[in-house]
Amino acid sequence: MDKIVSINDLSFRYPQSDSYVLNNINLEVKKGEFIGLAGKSGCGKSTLLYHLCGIIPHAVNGHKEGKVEVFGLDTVKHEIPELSTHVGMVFQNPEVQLFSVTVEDEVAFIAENLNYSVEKIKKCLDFSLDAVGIDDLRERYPFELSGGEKQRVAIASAISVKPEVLVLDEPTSELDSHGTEMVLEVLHRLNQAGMTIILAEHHLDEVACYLDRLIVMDDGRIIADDEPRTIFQDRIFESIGLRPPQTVEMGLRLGSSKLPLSVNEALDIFNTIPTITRGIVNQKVQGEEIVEIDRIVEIKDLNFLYGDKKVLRSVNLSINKGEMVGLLGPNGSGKTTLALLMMGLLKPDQGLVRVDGLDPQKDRKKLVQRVGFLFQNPEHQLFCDSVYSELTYGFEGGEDGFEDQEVIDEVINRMGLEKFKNNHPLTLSRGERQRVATATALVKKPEIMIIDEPTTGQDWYHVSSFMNLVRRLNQEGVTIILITHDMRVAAEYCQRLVVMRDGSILLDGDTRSVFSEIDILREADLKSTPLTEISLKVGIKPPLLKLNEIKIGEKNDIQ
Amino acid sequence: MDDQTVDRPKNKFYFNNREIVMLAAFLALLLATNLIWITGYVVGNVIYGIVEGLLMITAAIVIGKKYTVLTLGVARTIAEILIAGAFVGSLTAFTFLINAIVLEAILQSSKPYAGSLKINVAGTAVYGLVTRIVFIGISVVFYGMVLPTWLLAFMIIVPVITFAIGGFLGDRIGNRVKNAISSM
Amino acid sequence: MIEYVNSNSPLHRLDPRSKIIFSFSIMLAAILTSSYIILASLIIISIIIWIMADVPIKKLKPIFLVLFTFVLMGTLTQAVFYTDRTNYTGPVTVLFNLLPYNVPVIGSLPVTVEGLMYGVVFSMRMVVIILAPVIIPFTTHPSDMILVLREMRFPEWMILLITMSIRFIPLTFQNFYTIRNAQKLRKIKTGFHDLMLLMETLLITSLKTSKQMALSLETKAFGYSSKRTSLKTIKFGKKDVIFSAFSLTVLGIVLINTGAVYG
Repeated sequence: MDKIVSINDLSFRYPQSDSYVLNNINLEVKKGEFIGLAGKSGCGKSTLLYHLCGIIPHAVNGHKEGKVEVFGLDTVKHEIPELSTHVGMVFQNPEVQLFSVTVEDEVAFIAENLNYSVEKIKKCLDFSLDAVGIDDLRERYPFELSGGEKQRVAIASAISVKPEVLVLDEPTSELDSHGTEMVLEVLHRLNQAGMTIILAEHHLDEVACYLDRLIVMDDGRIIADDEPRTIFQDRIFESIGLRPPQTVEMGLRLGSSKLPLSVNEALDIFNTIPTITRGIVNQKVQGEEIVEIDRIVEIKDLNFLYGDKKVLRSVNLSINKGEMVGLLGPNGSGKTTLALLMMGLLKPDQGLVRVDGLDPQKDRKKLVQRVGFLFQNPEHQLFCDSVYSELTYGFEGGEDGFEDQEVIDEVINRMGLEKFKNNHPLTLSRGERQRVATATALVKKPEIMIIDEPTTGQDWYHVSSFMNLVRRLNQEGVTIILITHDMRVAAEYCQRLVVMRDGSILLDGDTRSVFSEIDILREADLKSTPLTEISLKVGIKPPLLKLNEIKIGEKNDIQ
Repeated sequence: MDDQTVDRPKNKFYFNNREIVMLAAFLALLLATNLIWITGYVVGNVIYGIVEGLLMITAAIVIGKKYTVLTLGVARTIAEILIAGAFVGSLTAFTFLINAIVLEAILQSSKPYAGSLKINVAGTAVYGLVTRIVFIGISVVFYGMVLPTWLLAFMIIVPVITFAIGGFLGDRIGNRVKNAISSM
Repeated sequence: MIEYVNSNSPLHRLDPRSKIIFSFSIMLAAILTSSYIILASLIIISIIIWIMADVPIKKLKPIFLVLFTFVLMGTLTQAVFYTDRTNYTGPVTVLFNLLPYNVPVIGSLPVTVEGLMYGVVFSMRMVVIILAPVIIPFTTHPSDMILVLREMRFPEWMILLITMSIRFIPLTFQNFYTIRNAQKLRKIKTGFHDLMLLMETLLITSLKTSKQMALSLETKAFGYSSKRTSLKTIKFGKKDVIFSAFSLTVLGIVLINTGAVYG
């Protein structure tokens, strides 16, 4: 049988809501296809995937019209356990899908639930660990693993009973670039081995070249379903506020007839166009001269131990007032620790930390009024039961602190929170929560903002609106320290980058020169953006950072 | 095709999957409260009772199904013996079973389960009382600890107060948490 | 929390059940006896078992801390209170009074020789009671613990509940520290009210993922039937029989001895 999934006229709405999350969806999937599913957050991607594995209608209530068949099985008539041997499901957050205390138990979980015999479970286990390439993790605790490893365990678990289709709901959005690479590599391998894959994903940069088909959803409808190239050519992503892979954008800008989906394809196109301007490199230098040096953060020979583990090793860093600095590095490189030390939440074992002239250990009270800190997960820093009380929280405690009604109203307006003023912050969407968290920092009128991984798990629409806000704050004079592993955000928004690995600073310099050091970046498990990689490969050094720096047809005399 | 609203199929177990996950989260929190004793005997005594009382009532309200408290008690006893090694002597782990039975019985007297502030506060007060009596009972009868009556009285009264405060706060927080989670 | 220490020591290779038999036998023996010699032997047995278990000394630090507190508190309280009860008929040799004068209800808290001697016995007993059972989590992988529960025919959902809670503990701590840090950055002077707000946020963040987790369990066919098969099994082997026999012999010897003393 060739057709393994067929959806006819599917519409769905959740019980509490009047509006349909899915609207008249028609879809067929053939065996062996690798399908990408894209769309903004809340467009109905997850709901559609839930239909495929039977979560809807068996575990989630709602109002459903139309028919979903997987392997000829009507998902209404067949229960989830039965469907689970045909469809494997992987969720966004690896934490929510690991239940056991060893990797082995985790991967055997479904087979055990299905009452397989011990021999059969062993076969499933061996197949799965081998297919995903995690045999070496067999006896580890799942919670000790890195994000990429956890997600691979989740994949191994989902495919353990050899389903024909693997459905993944944004599996890489919480991972760093190394983790993402590991997961996508596994998916490609599984697909090569004949498994059908349906992947919902925000960032298609690394996976676009593998896709047979790309489906774009908006507002509960499928607005495009075609070959990736055709979809990108038709500018469908841009029309809904998302952006296509950077190689595609480069192709579009260069007007190439066949859009490049990988770095190598883009490189070929770059090489055929001889007159790409490199002038931007010259202009840049003057603009970035620092007129007066006013150090706002000063860190000298900082060491920090956690137990016996050296988390930071003689870190030296100074940040000037008004800078927008990106702090890059793989998970576990010490970025967040460094930030917590700047705030006085951890005590240095050795070395000096000064922020705005203050010793964070002694003057945390003053420091907290001058520095805004945004945590990776906004939920962790929201405590009150309404947005308004959230903004006043912390004011009432300080000696010189008082509620300044005007400031609060101004911030509420600026962050577009008027209509949520009385809502519980945790009931808002992720993007809205992030705005509330930002607002709580802004009411203090901070001089510095430290922002930890703000773009994780979000689509470009939300990333860009948040980052534009950060940029505006920076232009107003707020010094920004941005912890991130999103290289495109770093390239496009930061003036300076500091790259960390294993508790040391590997690189520290203006964004362009840091991106020139492609080998050192790779050493730090960071993947530079396609544009910088390609520009370096064609000999543009320092490399281009933004698409609008590509200019065609203007002769330039950089040599 | 016609509109259809499909109901959840019957659960194989008394608790559904979501409730099991929530019970596990509460159990993890309860096991973690053992670390409160690091803060010292005096602070520990106050905070521990409040936090544990709060967690028990919050769990009962958020999960809202009969036998929630009892299940937590059984699971915790096993976990304390097997996994945490029951630092203060394995026999005292049975405290968590006996007090849970008592609290379960009290909470079941209100409808809905854990739905009355008064009963919740009274329940946690008794829970605290039983907790301490069983704990001291094991220490005195089995371990042979000798304590004067005035100290015993003091050791028993303190948890009654702190657990009851926990029950009161749990009633407030429980309802707030329940609302927040259901609207997510 | 006690963390499993990975090793291949003789203790690690035993069936968890024989370790449970060991710790309960030794504990029971310690409860039954009041003899210095027997208690000392029980401590020595526990220490030998500990050495065999190949657990690095570093990991034992928190245990020693607890032991130290218990020995200190045990000896002190018993030194004062042992002779202080109404039904005590033996001799009272007061060394000194803790309080300079007689406080109503509490008294002058005299430290007695008899009390001190009993305090030593009590402390030794507590050392055994604490040392023996802690060996279980140190040398038994949690997944083997879970197998014990399965062997004991606990319902599967209860087993899953316990497994997940073990898995959640590190996550719970991580959440707690992050939220506490965040709170410290929002507000300098935090009071009791703020502690409650922290609890509320911690609860919500811990429970928020429950919906997703439940769906994930659903797709993994959990609850397909009330029984599950199990990849791993535990077997009560020859070594376990020998070890359990040893544990029970120790208990037996102590029983005979205490019988002889009192009978």
